[in-house]
Amino acid sequence: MRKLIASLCLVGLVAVWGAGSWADSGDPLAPGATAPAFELSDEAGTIHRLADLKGKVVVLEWTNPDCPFVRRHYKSGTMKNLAQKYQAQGVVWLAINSTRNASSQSNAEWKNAQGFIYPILDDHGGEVGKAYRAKTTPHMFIIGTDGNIAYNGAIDSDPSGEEQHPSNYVDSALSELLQKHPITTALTKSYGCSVKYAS
Amino acid sequence: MFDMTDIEGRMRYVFFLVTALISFAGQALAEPVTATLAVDHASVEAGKKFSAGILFKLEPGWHIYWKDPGDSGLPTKLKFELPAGFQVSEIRWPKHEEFVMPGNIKINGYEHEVLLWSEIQVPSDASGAVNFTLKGSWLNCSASVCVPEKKTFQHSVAIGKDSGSSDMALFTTWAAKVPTE
Repeated sequence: MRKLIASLCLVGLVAVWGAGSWADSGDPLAPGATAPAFELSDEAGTIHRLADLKGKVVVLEWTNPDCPFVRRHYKSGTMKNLAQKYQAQGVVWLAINSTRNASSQSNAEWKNAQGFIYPILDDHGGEVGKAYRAKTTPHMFIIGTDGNIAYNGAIDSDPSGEEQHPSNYVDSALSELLQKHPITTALTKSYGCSVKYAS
Repeated sequence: MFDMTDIEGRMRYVFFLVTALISFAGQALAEPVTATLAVDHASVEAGKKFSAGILFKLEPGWHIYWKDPGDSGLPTKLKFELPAGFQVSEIRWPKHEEFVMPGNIKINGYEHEVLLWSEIQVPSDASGAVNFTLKGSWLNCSASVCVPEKKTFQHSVAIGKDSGSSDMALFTTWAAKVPTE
């Protein structure tokens, strides 16, 4: 009995220690940090692994078709135009949906309705979203050719959609990154709806 | 032939059904947020202040945001349009609540009910009445959905002898919840 209690305590301790080491500190992934690995399938069932994209600049766009902030940027073409602009320069653009009730099918329907060409990855369990500490939709990440976070934050400077000419942080960072210049603004506070995680 | 208790039972059943339907329809149609204008004075003396703002009433499970919304959301905004010479204070923010959403998303906001307002300084040479416009905009979120909303109010306060409105007590209650810096 004592042994059982002792081993249960040990299990408990390990569980607590484990939980502690995995707990989200709440701090955003800093530019320069290693981008967490992922393997997710897109709306057509194709698997995308970050490891396979080594040596490329990758943009991750957290998205949720039901979020008004996302809808505003799709209506104005922010994401589609930016992805198109940098596609020719070899930049890989991936949308990720970590909404708990999302599915490949609902993602495919939205992609068809919006007419964008980049894949939309299904993360309805939220593991990848939480690894990146994605807080909002939209929430943008740029991963450099070295596999490290180059930019983390908002799409632009205009949370309430009232500015005439908002600064697009992702555009600036991509342009600087591709010219091998230091990124002036590498970390901003993302804005939007909270990511509707399952847990 | 007729069993009275049975008829009563049936009537009760029908009554229950109708009540249930009405209450269901009521819930389905209820706006998640009701925003109403609140003004503390019916008339105000020139050179003095009055307060005007929006009383938000939220259905359970919905929230709007504080000036610093936290990890997501948008600050609630009040924008006044007043004649020249009138000065508007910063928004008075009662103590907010902190919520942690799934995924450790920390946000600051209000549930159930909150009054947000500004104080308006009336110039000492003002007379007649002051007509003003108040434009409120806010993001209203539940655990699963967010809705941006806005509403415009127009109102007039007489300038003359100081006299409180029926909203005066509301302002007293909420002013006590504004943290002193």
